[in-house]
Amino acid sequence: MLEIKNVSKRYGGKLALDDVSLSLPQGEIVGLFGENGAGKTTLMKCVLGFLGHTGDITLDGEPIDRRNIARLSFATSEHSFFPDLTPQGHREFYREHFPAFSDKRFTGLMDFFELPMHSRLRSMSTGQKNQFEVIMALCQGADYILMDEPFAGNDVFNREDFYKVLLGILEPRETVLLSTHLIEEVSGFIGRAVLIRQGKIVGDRSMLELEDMGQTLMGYVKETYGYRADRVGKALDELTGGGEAGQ
Amino acid sequence: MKTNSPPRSERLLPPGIPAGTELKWLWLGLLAAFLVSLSFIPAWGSNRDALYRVVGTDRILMTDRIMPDFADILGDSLYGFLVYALCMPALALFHRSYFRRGSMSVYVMKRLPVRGEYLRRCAAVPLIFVLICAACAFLTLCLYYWIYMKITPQICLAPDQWQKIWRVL
Repeated sequence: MLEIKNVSKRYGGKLALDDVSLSLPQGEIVGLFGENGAGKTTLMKCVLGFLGHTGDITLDGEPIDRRNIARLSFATSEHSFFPDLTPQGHREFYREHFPAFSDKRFTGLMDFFELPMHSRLRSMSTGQKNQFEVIMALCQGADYILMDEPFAGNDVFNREDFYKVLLGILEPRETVLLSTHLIEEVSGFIGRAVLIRQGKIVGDRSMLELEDMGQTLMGYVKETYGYRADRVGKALDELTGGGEAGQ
Repeated sequence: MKTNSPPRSERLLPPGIPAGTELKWLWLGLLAAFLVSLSFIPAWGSNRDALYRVVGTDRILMTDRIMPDFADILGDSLYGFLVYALCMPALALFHRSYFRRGSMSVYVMKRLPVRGEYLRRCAAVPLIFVLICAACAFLTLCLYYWIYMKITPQICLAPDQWQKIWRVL
């Protein structure tokens, strides 16, 4: 169980995370949704220990440190591979440093996405880089896989493939925390939705609960965020003078 | 399972940096520092020549003349090594920035279970070459001191040369 208790993070005068508490049991696929700057990336970076914070983050009751950090992996749209290293070089590096690295999964995913094993990452397309970023996070052998907008720049077919592959290969012990803006796209793939706004958790529902309530994920997000559907129409009226014409 | 471990030198550098190229430039830099230090030889030679008076084809040693101190002749000869050593922190910073160029591979380094791997990959090679540079500078100093003491006529040498060497350091 990954537990985040009363975590706050401040950047200068701005409160990026405000008393966030969240539990992620093993075996869940959790979607983390929020606008840009809501605190999704900051939360993940706090979990990984990249950012100092107040509050506690524990993994099965233990603080996250060198002893258990390998149980967490991270895929980010910023990318975290070594640009001048080939996939084969990454494989050797990960094998050396992460004892649970899954060579079988690595080979399978590399084949599936038809990525070249001996080209430097720098020379690959953005889509291929994103694919490789996620492949490494999935193959590290981690129990908790944190993904921060991992498909930014990938086409829809590519993303579709990824969701299917992910659902097919994940083992029961593996938990995915997926931060994305592609709400509708992942609605059939996640088991739980966590909503974050201005550094606070403002919603946390399982997809089954939403189903029971007769609500879609997008509907739940819009309701929680107080989305005003008439906002666009009003703005267009004002911009095009439609309001005056109607008077 | 067959594992092709990278060479030892590559384990001390950021992954993806070609070890051969970087080491080649580091050794060439050391060679350049040594070549700069060779300026000692003409300086020492001209001071030594000044101890002699030329009469026809003969060179006569003027025993009343004193050779300038070793430290004075050495002058700035070893500065190349100093500049080289001062470049090494910059190299460590270059390695550090490598983990933030093109991607944020620093995230992987910070997630490694092995303590100190990130620091090792940034600083090990610069530190090793600072030590090699210091050793080369010391050996060069010893070589030039030996040349100074052995080839300069003994009678023209001022006393306590080794003690005065601290001026250089």
